Amino acid sequence: MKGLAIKNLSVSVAGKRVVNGLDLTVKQGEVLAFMGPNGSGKSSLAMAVAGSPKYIVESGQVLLNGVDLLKLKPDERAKKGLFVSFQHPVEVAGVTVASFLRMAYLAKNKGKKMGFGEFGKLLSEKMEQVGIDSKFASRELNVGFSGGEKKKLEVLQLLVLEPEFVILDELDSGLDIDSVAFLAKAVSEMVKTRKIGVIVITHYERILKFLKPDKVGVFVESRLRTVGGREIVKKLEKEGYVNFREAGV
Amino acid sequence: MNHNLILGNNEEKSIREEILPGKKNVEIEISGDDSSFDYYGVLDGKDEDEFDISTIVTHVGLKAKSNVWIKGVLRNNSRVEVRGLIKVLNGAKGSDGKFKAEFLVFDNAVAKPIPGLEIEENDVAVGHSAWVTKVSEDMIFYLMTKGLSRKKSEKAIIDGFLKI
Amino acid sequence: MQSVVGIDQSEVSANKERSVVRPNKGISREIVELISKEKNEPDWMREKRLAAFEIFLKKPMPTWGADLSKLDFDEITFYLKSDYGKYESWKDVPKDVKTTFEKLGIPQAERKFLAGVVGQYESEGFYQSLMEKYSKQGVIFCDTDTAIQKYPEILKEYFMTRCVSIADHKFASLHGAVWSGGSFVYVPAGVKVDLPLQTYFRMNAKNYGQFEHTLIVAEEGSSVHYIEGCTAPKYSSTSMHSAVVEIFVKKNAHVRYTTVQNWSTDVYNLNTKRAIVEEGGFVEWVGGSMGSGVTMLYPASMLIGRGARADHLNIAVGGPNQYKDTGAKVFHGAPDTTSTVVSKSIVFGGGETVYRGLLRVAKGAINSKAHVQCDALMLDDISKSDTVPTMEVFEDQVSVGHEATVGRISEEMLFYLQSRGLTEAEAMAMVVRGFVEPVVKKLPLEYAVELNRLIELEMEGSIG
Repeated sequence: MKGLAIKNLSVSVAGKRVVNGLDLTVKQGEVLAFMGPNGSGKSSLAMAVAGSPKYIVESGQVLLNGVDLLKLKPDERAKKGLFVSFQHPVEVAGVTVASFLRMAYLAKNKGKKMGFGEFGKLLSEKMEQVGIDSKFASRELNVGFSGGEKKKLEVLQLLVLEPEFVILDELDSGLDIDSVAFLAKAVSEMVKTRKIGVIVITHYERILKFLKPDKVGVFVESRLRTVGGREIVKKLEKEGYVNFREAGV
Repeated sequence: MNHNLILGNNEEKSIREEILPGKKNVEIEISGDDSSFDYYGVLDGKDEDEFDISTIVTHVGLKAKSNVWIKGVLRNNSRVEVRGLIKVLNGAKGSDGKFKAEFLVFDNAVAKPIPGLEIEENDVAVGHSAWVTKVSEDMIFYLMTKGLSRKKSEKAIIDGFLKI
Repeated sequence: MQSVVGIDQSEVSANKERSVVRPNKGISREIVELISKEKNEPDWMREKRLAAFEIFLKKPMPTWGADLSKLDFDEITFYLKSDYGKYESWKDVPKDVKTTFEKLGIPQAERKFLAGVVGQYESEGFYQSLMEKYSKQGVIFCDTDTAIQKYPEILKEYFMTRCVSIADHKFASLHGAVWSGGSFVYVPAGVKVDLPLQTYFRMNAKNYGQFEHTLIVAEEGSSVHYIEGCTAPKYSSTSMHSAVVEIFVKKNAHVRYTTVQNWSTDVYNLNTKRAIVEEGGFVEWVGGSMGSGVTMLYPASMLIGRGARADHLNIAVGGPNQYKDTGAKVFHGAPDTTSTVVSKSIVFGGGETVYRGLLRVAKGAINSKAHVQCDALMLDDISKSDTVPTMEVFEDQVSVGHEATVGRISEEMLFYLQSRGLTEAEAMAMVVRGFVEPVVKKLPLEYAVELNRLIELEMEGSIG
């Protein structure tokens, strides 16, 4: 199967179980909205799949196009085509956006020869697509960036690195509606043209207006409660998550 | 009054005081794990006051946290020398140590902050800063635009600075 | 530029020493006299050397800083003259010396960038050339020995007088007695030298100390950028390096002094570098020190005129068996003076770095601003980093601050970069480069590249 298959995944962080026995499949070309209340463990899924040392995988598999990512280091997972946009992108002092992106691009496209000028052109194109001022190319990676600017930069990385499968961790938090629309559309384009698979982690429905999900999963208190169609989004808007919680909790 | 303490596991110690002229020694060893030490000292120097302050915080246990903050206003011929040392011994992983000294200086007063770091462990977040400045003109201007005279503005700022 | 990186130092091995005069080891009045005689020096310089020697005998060794107990003056040869004369053009330089210098990348650099090169070999300047344009404007760039003969009036006024005097401290006195070689730069008023002036030098003989003296005088409104860079071959016994740099920055002049040092591991590197800055003048000290067993280095800026300014940018790398004791001294002696110190140190493999700084603001230095930022990056838990800054502020209308941080590369940062496809080693290298970037961006491009590569080479094998 081409896509991401998560099988019986359990993850804990700082001694606490945050993901319990998760089974989830998203094919290439599909968009899954992964929704749940704050603290449900949604971001833990993203970080665990990315390979964060803070998150301990206790059981399960995460197969990307048949390869178990859990056996690989974070950079190897990226090279296999995974991209996870961080909810809290990290500031890296002294490293410019341009030099970082070029390094990451070359790491992904080993053997490809690309001069500075050529890359500069590629970068400008993508920056325009994402709505980021070209001045950002020479700014230090995420240093002093507003929340919105950091998120735009995550999507810029996505466009430059051209992954196969993307997990967006609360991309919309901290963004104004116009930016959400812009970024969501950029990702939506990639789904159409390159058939990437996407898991959109969010608890608002805003972003889903522009990046339309094929499936919606509801994640509450470390478990996947249900997977269904878009109608779930409307239901959540009206009723909240209350009906998805464990009975009696 | 001098302070000489050894903290064991899971202990929290917090000291807030006014520092009087003379010698003051604060020597703290965070020996156990998951403990923290917090010191906030404030001094108001005038005439011929002399302050000789030494703080030594040694991190031995795991995840030791310390924060030493000394602030003062010095006028006339008063003087302060502060030696603030943070030591992190090898093995004291997860240490978080901070030292900050800030002085507002007027007339012929002299401030001599000597912060120091001796670090033998890399799994740490340790920092210090020392400042000797005059009262910020921006702050004074802001308060004056709210109707306070220059003198009152300065006093308000200094009082705020010295709050314990 | 053909970079020095990637060349095993032991390959660039000592050319069989071409030395004609090789006095006995150790130091004595006779040796000081011999040095002066060999150089054919005027009386005033010979007397200065002897006076310095007398002071050296009386002064005690410093009791702070690096451990100098293995330093034995009796085991060091203090003067070595080669049989090479001076050369105007590269074509005339002897072959084996040329090979060494070629490996160090000088000829191409000279063709492309420089205004002139004075190569130092065994403490005697032997190669000089100066671009016509600058000499027509009155710019002087030659080795200090030549300057003593050709420009005695200027040298008498500035050489070890008000800047670094022969009585300053023990190593300055020693230097005053046995100094040899180094560069002299004089820039007349209003002249701006736009290409950096550069010189290379290296020590060759076992147990040989180098005492070059560099003197830079920038007259009113002038500007110049001087680069000093050096490497040395490996030896098992110790060598000592006690150079002196004196810089006079006159009114509204600008001098940038750049050093990239990569001494081999057995060198004691104890220099004295000082600048006196007059009204509106600006001095920049930009340096990177790698290699070298033991280094003590504290460039000092004396801001004695209104509005004078100093920027100190330094990188210190302390790898296995290395001890770097570096810092900055700034003295604010006039109103409206400003200074910034940025010190970045990286320590690993059991190495140790110490930042030692002195910031003194005199009474009357109204409206002065001084800021020190020293950051240390510790790559493992077997290395050490110490910070010993001192601030002495005797004036109230000032703003003086010092900040320091010590830590390691955050796991979060590494993870973030790795999640974008960089291996752990690539991610660490990127973070380290970012860490030193504020200093590296002030270096000319080829130095920046060399410095980054030197740091990576030093780190290689020391990262888990």
